[in-house]
Amino acid sequence: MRERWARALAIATGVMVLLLSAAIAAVINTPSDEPAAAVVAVASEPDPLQITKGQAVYDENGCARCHSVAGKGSPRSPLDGVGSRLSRAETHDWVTGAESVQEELSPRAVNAKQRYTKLVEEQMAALLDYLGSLKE
Amino acid sequence: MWNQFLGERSIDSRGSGPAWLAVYLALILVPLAVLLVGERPRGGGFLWDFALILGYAGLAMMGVQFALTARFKHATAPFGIDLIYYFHRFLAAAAFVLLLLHVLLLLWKYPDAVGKVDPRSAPGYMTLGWIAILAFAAIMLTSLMRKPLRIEYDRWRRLHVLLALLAVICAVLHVQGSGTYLEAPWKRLLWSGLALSWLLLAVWVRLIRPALLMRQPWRVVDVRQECERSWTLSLQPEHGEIFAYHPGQFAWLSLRASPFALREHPFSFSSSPTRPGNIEFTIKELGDFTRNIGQIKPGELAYVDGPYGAFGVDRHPRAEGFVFIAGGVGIAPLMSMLRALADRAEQRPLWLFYGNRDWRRVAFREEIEQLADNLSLTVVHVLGEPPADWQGETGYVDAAVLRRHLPAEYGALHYLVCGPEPMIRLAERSLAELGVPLKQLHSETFDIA
Repeated sequence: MRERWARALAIATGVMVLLLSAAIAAVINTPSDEPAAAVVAVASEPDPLQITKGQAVYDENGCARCHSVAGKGSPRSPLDGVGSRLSRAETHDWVTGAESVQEELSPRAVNAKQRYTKLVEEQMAALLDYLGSLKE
Repeated sequence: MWNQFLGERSIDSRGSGPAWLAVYLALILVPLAVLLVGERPRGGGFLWDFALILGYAGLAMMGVQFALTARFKHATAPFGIDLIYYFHRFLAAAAFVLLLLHVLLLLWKYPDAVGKVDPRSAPGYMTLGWIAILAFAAIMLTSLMRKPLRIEYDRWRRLHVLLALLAVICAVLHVQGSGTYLEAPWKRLLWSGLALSWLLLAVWVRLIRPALLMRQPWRVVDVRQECERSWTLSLQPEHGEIFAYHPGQFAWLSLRASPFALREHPFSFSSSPTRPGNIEFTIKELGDFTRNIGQIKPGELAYVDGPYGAFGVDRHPRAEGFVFIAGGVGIAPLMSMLRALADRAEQRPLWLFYGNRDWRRVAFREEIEQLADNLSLTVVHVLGEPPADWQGETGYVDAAVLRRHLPAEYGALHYLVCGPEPMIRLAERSLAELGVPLKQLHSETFDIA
């Protein structure tokens, strides 16, 4: 009898928590009225080898923990089309969490991006080429 | 079986039950609800956020476990500590399901976001998350499979505490590291405070309270055999007075071990508070801890954490009479009550249905006869394996036995049942069959481990 009560209360709690979790997820995903980012002109097509190298840098540094490309990775901050929305310099700032973008980033994200300031020039160039290739 | 404990069920016995339920729900739901307050992260899709929030939810539920097992007298009293421990088990299972769902959903839908498991390449907070889920899984496995895995109870308990601390600390650091919904400093602070309170509870239960118990040692003054395999230990405090307790309550007893050793076990008092000077526990040789209980010698030190529990006649002052149903050593708390009632010159009618396998195992036979002379007490012995010349009841204490001995107005009486789980279940079914209102049934069981 007591065991049944305890089980019922635990199940009720679990269901309640599950529903609350679903409700929070639903609220967070309510569509917002934020305007879409402007599309910027892009100069030239990068070298395919550079893009492959850049993708490897992306994978090695675990960028997918916070970003997604073509549905792979964290869907909170998708990078699809980033090559059409940002210039190379702007992309560099976002990658490294530069001062110019810090206001729009959480402290945790700024902190996480510090590792990208340590990329060697060649890796950074490849990563920027890869991100630049992600067009709308 | 490792003890003769004594959780009690008496959910109607205190009006504060709903208030404590609300506190418990708030402890789980409020930390989740605050994730929605103020600035929120951009949505990553319903499934993504659902999967992440399940991690927070599972952790909040796991954190409450520390409060559930902290033996807060006021919080546990309305429900009975056995119900609290059953709830602890089921809630942990539910929380583990949520945590598993958190991991599996992310692995299934977002494997790239989870990244590599290898700690050499994964960020620290992710490795901590993996350690946490593995530790939680180990807790579930060792708790559900303790007996098949042949893990001795005391060893399991130490392992349980260590794994729980490891799991929760790693999970909290994992949440703080990933911190998706805790960008606002106040939210981070709230969750940090919450986690700290869970750990402080563990410190209180495992370090501070044992230290306090060490300062108040007890000494065994008498060990006597009541019947085959059942012994009564009589204890006196080394310093000061005995704490006040009610008949039917219980305490956690440490023998031949420090209170820090996690070798304490709950036992009901068989003594009555109306007879001050010492406290007594009647204990049967049943499990790892109690197997050698008869070898305890007078003069040995003991540590007593109590009293706890809400099982007893004192909770029902307006009852028209009491029916006691005992199985085996389940007689212990009922003896405490019968002795107290006799000393208080109780006038209300009483019945004792006392089930045992055979006559040699019937503890307190002579004293029960004396109590029957002093009280308005009807004693009905029920034997599973009666001797050839037995004239009394046989089998189990079931509806037929109860009906034969109880008066027509049995529906107005309160029933206090103590014994092993199968006996309690039979008593509950029998009383339900007789139409006794559930709120008049109060029971206590052995072996909640």
